[in-house]
Amino acid sequence: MTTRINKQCRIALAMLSWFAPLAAAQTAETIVEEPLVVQEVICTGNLITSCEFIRDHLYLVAGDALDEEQIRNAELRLSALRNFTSVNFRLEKGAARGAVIVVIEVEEASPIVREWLLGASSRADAQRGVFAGRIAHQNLFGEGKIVDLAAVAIVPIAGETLNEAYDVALRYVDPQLFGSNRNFGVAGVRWRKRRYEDIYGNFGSIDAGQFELTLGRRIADFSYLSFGVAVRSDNDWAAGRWDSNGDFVTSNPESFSDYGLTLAYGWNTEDDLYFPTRGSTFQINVGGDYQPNEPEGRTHIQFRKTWAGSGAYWTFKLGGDPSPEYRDSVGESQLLSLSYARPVAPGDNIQRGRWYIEPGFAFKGYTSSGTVFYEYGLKAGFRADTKLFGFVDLYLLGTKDGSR
Amino acid sequence: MRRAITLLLLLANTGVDAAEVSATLADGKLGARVDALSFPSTLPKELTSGLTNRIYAQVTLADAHANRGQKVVEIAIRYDLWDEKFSVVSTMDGTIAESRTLASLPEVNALLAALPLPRLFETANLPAGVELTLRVEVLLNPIDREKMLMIRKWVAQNNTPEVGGRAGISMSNAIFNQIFDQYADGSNVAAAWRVSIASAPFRLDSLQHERR
Repeated sequence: MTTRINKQCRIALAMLSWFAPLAAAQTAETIVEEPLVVQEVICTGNLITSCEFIRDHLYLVAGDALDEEQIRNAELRLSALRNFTSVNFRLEKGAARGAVIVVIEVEEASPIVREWLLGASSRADAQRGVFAGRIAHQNLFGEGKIVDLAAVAIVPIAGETLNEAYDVALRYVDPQLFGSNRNFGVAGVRWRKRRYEDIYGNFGSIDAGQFELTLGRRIADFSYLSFGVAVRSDNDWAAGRWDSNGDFVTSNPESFSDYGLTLAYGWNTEDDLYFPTRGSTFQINVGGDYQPNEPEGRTHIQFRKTWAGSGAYWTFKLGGDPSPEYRDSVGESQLLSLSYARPVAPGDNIQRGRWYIEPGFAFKGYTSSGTVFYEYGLKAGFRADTKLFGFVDLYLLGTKDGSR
Repeated sequence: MRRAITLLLLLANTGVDAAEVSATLADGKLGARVDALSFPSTLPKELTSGLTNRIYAQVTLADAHANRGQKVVEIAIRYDLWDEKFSVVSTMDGTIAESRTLASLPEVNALLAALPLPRLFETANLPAGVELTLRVEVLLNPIDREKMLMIRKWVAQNNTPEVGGRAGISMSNAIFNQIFDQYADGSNVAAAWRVSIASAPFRLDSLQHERR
C-alpha cells in the first residue's frame, strides 16, 4: 500500500516532531490526552470490497486530528453492513511521533446465503408439512448482483381436505440496474404445481412454468414502484369457489392466461428483513397473480410494522411476510396477525435468534351457503441466523375454522 | 433427522461464565472485585490497538428488600504506540478516581483478571448485621442509547444498495445485532460483550479491611 501524505498532514507532522521530546516527557495522566494526527487510512482483509467503499464510512481523512468517537461510529456503521462478519480498527505508528495510520481490518462475509424453513400446520381440516430452502449468491461479479434459487414443498400429511404445493424459482436480481442505485431489475424462471380443495368444495389447481421480468425504481428515501410481467405459454389451471350469494363459480381469469402484468408500489423502512427491530414495509399490487382465491393465494396488500417494547419485538402483519423490492420471502402466515418475539442470547453457533408466538386471523372465502369462511389460530416458532445452516425457521401453526 | 438433532443441540448450547464477585473493604468504603472474567479472546489485540478500550462496570448494592445504592465505574485503557506502555484511568460516576501506567500487557491482564472496583459505598450508611449482595454488570466498550439510535437511523437510511457495497437482503453482523437486541431489552447502555454477575450474600462485619 503506497503511503500518501497530503500537504496539511505534512505540516501537522512537522509541528508534532518539534514537540516530540516534550511529549515523551509527559506523565501517565496526560498520555491519554496526547493529540494524534491521522497520517493515512488503510484497509486490510478486503478481497472483494474496495478500500474506498470502506473508508467512506470513516469521517476522518489524512491530516485530521484523530477522533476516537469517529472511529467507533465508523466501526458501528461498517458492522451494520452485511458485507462483513467482523470489523476492527487499530492504529499504527506513522512517520513521526503523534502521526498514526488508521488500519481498518475487515473480514468479508460469505456472499452465499442459505435459508431453510421447516414447519407443520393444521389448517382447514388439512395437516401438512412445509419445507423450503433457498441458496443465493449476493455479490455476483463482485458488483452486488444476486442469483437466487428457492424451492418450497407443501406436503399433505393427513386430513379430510387437500393442500399440496411445489414451487421452484431461479432468479437473477440486479439491485443497481443500469449502474444506478435508483433502479432494480429481476429476471426469473419459475415452476409451480399446486392443488387444494377445502371442506366446502372450493378448489384450485395449477401446473405451470413461467418466465418473469420486473423493473423497478426507488422513489424518495424508502419507496419504490415496479412493473412486472410473467409469461407462461403452457399452463394448466382451474379454480372453483362459492361466492357470497351461495353460487358456485368456476373461473379461468385472463390474468392467469398466457401472461400476467403487475404494478406494485411500496416502501421499506425496516432495518432487517429477517429480524426487524423497527420500521415498516408496505406493498400494494394491481393486476397479476394477486387474488386470494387464486391457487397462488397471494394478497394485493401487504403491510408489516415492528416495535420494540417490554423486552420484546411486536410485529403487526397484514398479508404475511413481506417481499419488498427485489426480495422474496418464504413463509406461511395468516392474513392478519400480531407477533410477539423475544431475542435469544447469541452463542457460538447462533449469531442471532428469536422465538415468537403469532395469533392471527384469515379470511378464506365462502361456504356453500354463502357465509364467510374464516379461520383463526396460533403460530409458534423459532428463527435464527446460524453459522452452520444459515437462516433457519422452525414453526408450528394451528388454526380453527371459525365458520363452523 | 440427525441434522435436526444436531441443530437442536447447537441451539441449546449457551456459554457459562465462571466469573465471581467478592466484596472488599478499604478506607471505610465497600467495594467489589471481579475475578476470572472471560473477556473476548480478541481483547489482547484490541488493547494494543492504540485505541482506548473502556470497561464499564455498573455495581448495585442490595439487601433482601431493596437496592442500597448504585455506582458506575469506567476503566479506560490505552496503549501508547511509542512508549509501549498502557495508561489506565478509572472514573467513578464520571469523576477520575485513579490514573496509573502499566508497563506491559501481562500487567494489564493481571489487572483485568482480578478487576478492582474499590471504595464505592460509604459503610457508615450501611447496616452491619444485614446480608447484602453486590451485582456487577460489566460491559466492554459500551454504546449509549443516543448513539445507537443515531446508528439505527443511519442503517434505515442506507439500506438501499450501492454498486459493490450494500447489496443484499439483510445485515447479518452478529455483534451489531446483539447490541440491537440489548436495547429491545430496555438497557440504556449496550455492548457486544456484556456479563452480569452477583456476589454471594455477605455481612459488613464479616469483611476485613484491605491495605491500600
